[in-house]
Amino acid sequence: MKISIKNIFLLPIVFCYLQCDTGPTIDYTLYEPKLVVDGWIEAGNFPKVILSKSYSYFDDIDSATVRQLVETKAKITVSDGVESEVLTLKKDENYFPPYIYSGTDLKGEAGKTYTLKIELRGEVYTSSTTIPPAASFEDLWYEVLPGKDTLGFIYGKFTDNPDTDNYYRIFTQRIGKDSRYIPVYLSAIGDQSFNGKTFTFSLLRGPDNFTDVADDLYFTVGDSVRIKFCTMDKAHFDFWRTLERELYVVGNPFSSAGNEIISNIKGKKAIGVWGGYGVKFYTIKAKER
Amino acid sequence: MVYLPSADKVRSMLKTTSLLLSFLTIISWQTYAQGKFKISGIVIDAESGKALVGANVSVKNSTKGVIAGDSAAYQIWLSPGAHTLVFSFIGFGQKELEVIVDRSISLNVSLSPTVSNLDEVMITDNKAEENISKTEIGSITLSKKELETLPYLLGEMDPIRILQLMPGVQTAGEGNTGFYVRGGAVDQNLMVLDNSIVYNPSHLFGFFSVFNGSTINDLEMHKGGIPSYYGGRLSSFTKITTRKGNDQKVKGEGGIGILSSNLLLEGPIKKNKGSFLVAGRRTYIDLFIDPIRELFSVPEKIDYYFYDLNINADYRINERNQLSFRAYLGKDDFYFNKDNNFANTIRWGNGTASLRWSHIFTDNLTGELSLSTVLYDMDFGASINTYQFNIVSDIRDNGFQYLLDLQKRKHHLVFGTTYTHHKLRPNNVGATSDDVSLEFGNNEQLFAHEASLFLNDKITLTEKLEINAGIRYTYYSQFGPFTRYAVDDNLQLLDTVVYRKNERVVHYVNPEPRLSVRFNLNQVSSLKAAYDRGYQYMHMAPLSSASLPMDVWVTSSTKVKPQYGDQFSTGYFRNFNENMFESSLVLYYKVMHNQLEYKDGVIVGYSRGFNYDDAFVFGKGISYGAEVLIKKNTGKVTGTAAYTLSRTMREFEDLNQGNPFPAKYDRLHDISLMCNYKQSNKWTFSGVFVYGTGNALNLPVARYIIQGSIVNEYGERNSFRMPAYHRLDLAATYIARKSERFESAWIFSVYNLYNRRNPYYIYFETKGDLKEYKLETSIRQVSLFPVLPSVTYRFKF
Repeated sequence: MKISIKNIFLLPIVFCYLQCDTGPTIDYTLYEPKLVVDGWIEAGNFPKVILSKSYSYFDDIDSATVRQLVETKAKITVSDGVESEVLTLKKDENYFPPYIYSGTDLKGEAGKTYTLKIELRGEVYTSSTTIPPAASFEDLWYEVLPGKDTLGFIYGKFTDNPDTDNYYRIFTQRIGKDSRYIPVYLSAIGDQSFNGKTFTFSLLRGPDNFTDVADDLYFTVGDSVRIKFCTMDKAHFDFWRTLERELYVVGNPFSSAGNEIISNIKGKKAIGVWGGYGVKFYTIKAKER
Repeated sequence: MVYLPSADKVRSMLKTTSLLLSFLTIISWQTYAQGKFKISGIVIDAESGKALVGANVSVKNSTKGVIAGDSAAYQIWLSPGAHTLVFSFIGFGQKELEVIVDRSISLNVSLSPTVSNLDEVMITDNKAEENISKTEIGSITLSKKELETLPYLLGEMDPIRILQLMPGVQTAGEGNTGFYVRGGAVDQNLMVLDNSIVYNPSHLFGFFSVFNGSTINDLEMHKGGIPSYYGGRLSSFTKITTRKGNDQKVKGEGGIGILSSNLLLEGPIKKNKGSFLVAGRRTYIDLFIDPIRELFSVPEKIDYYFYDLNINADYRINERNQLSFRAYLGKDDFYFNKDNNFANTIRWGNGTASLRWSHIFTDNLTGELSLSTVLYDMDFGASINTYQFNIVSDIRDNGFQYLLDLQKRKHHLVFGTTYTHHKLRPNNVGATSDDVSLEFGNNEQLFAHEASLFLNDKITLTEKLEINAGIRYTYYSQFGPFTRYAVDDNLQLLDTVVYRKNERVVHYVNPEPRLSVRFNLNQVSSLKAAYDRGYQYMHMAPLSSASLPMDVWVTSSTKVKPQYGDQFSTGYFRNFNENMFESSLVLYYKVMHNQLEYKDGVIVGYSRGFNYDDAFVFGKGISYGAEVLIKKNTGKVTGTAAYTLSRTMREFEDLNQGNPFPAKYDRLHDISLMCNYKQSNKWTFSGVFVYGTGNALNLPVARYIIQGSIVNEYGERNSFRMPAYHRLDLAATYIARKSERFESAWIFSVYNLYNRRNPYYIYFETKGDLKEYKLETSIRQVSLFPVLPSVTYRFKF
């Protein structure tokens, strides 16, 4: 144990600097895995579903165990109430696990409700979601932060519809840098604090990987950034709201612990989400205007 | 589930109570032997003329004895003949007086402060008998002298630290001056400084309490068998009384330490009539933190200090009237700046003031009127780039208490009334993003009245049997201006009800019966039992596993029902070896209703609903346990050993699928050892060891991956345990000089001697990269205080 003057003076006052130790070892009883559904349908696009399994807390992941987390034997049907389509499985390294069920016929349309039906090993799992009308930015710009030289944030201004409850989610993708659309920092937001107002979002770049949340929040001058501005229904929003809350508060002493993530999947031992997005796409070059 | 009695019911309950009390009066008067005479008077300090409240008056070769009450007045009934009265008080020489009783006698006695060891031994001896003879089963009283025997941690003498060593009182853990009493939450302990409530008694994130040791006269705590003149919280009542200044000459004392320094000055305003006392403390890390930061190239800027100030004034108008003024002001200021884009400030402070008028009506009737005011402020601010965020909470209380104390034969009646006007702002959130200010619910103030009427009678039925019976009626109302919002599941507003200024929103009236009984088996042992019911109208739910100054107080409302609880306790008390050792075994069982917890996943400020009480859920708590205390009072080595075996469960409809779960502070084993060794007149060594079962907490049982994020899934609530908490502190005091005019001492102390890493909070760390199919998770813990040595120089003149 190293005791330095620094410890003596700083430690009593700032918990941020305190000794971080390996925590207690904990016995986990046998855990029964659940089916994890990650499904979405965007306006103008085909439905996509990734199936995986949850696993005990102390099982580490390596290339050998990944196989056990994937569910590739399911029959997945998506329907808009009139037409329906059975999705097909493809390998796609852009996702984790790298297998994705997708459609080729039925495309999402704003205002419609889509049901999901998963049949797997004799069990049936169902869900339903709607695609709300898209919202659009009135202005979108980039600003370098004072003293940050080449680092800054993107800002988007828009006006909320005062007549309905609105829920938004924003993703960004730096062209040539990110392989997918990454949700921004605290990406799911409801209009309860700005209902009917003209509001400016500051888009803080989200981490590509939650194992490294401390990845910087900035966009660099010169980045070309694609922005996906989405609208969601309440159940879809609740899932991402509670999930992000959990991701950001894990172990955070400022929050209450043991958060329930609200899933909209019905069925035995299933978690996850089936959500529709109204979408609008933008591209912006990170430079001072 | 709130008990709202109708007017008829209240009337019939009052009737029952008064019948019960008059019945007790009748039987006690019947058993009272006729033909006795009253000996009465006051006990004072021979040097300063101060009243020695709490002085012991006993009759030699008998178990008979009384404690001098308010204004140090005592009275004792004796049969005709010769008796020897023994007057004693901690820190004062004992006086024996022979009296020939043939009529009622008035006898005022003065005691001189002691210096020799022998007298202290005699005095603790007398105090030790209280273990057997006092009826209050769960009460703890400590004098300044006893407090001084505790190790001075980082040079500070902290009364709360000594309370935490008592059985049934558990430290809330790292970074917390809060404590848990018999399975009650931190908010169920009422802390009263002189006559004002202290809502947040902690400095430095809980390392110190706000009570400046050098100002304290005495401290009393009740955790069971609580007299009915105390109330307002479910689990305990702690009263800290600061002392009167010296009314003879100007005196001073102080300490210079590594973290902080303090200075106290006292003296007469008018000799024998009035006195003042002023004491201040301040930490000064902030003054030299910058050079240290540069030395170790710490990029982040941290700034922290706290200070507090006590101002006391006393004035004796005449023999029968006395005025006392007490004021306290304390503040903590913390600033943290990571880089230009992230800054964090936390500030909190307490202010209290009270004015008390004590009046002696007759030899056996005294009155005390006190007016008090309380200010508590908390401000938490954070800014990330253009997003600024701050949470403000504050409390303003104004009130009075009128208390009458009547001693008549075998009865000791205390009755009176209290009233408090509360004004609170809980978690008012202000946030701006760029130039747009965001709305986080309605920033409103809460207003409430809280009042009580109480009557307590301590009846000495026989020398062996004493009963303490009391009733307290409490009234609470929340009133306007207030707006109640009805909200649907989508957080959209359905309806609003607006209450005008002073319009009543909701009110509650509740009776709190209390009863305790003491029966002496013989000279050295007694049995005691008590029943308590209490109501609590002010609440504070702790948000997370770590304790923070952001935990806010809220008032009762239509949704937040008053907490109430019933406690049964019983115990066996025994002294050994001519009171050298005291021991006790106490069993308790407590049920608490309308307990508060936050809903799952609430983040301060971020998750606020429309109403201030939207974030809470309600349920029940049960606690039971056994407490063992062994105390050695005399000899070169003195000390206490306390052990508590207990269980605390909670049951909430909306948490853990309605199944019972252990409270965060469910602690099966809790051990506190304190030892003092007076090696010589120069050196005294002391040590404290504490051990407690780790706090219960939520941990994930499983995880899953969704859109590249690793998400935790939780199991049964609080089904995991933090590692056990244990710590050893040592202190040594060296008296460098001791004379009539000047005293000085060096205090060396080590906090957490073997550098135990007690967990403050636990978090998870996941390493690896999904794209490479490699991921490892580990549990990590953060500890607050490592081994902390310190040296303090104390002086007195």
